[in-house]
Amino acid sequence: MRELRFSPFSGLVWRYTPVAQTPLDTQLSFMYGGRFNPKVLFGMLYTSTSLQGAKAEFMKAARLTGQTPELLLPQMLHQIDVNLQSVADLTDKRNLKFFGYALEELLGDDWTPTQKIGTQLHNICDAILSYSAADPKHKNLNLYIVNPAAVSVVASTTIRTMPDWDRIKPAR
Amino acid sequence: MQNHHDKLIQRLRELGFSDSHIGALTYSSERTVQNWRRRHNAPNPLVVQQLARVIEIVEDLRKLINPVAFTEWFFQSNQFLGKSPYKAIIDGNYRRMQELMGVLAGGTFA
Repeated sequence: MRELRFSPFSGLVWRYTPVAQTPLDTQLSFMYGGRFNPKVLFGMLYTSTSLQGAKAEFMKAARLTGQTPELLLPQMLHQIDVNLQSVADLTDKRNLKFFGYALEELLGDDWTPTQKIGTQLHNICDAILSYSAADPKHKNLNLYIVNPAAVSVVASTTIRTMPDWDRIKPAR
Repeated sequence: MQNHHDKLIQRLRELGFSDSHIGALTYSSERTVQNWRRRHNAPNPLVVQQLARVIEIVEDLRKLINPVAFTEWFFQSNQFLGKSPYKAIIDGNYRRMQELMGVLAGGTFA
């Protein structure tokens, strides 16, 4: 891992969840698995570095699962303040080269390559920064670490209708 | 008194599955399912296990999908699975089904 570059990350990230779910809960990703974590090995907190990125993820979830976005509402949109020391930036081509994957392979619907990377980086860094598979104009921060010193929810808003997405303002 | 498999089959029928669907989900024929229901014979333990597994998946999915749209959604192909959830269960694509549930539950991004 010596050739890999890790950098700190501080700022606001965005995440949507069903209304009843705790914003920083990684239990669901642990139970079901996600793009960067194989199920039952470890959980991750999937966030976007922008509001538009979170919305793109929501729209993709609806599209891929064959539902209208309205059917997935209501949802809670959480703004989360993160302050991490060590993030593996997979939007950096030099880091991507280390794992031997092309960018397109990390954006596909087959999660095998990303879950392999996620497993390799588990216990090595705090989070993975990646391009969003929903819209590569945006980036996602996929966190291993969810402790109060590094991650805190600063605002949560209920999204009841699709226009609500456009009424959200950053908490700071 | 109802056997365990009677209860499982009854639950699947309450969930909207026909004998033909139950047959496909357990790799059996519609006639075989009818025979189980009429108690002419009983499913083997592996089939009972599969019935329980199908119910568990369907019950989990029903918590995540709007109930009004569930049946149509369940039998319709979606891009995430590349097939319908119904077909994915028949084909044994359980890992991808779990990942789908994670996306639906809002636990992960797709």
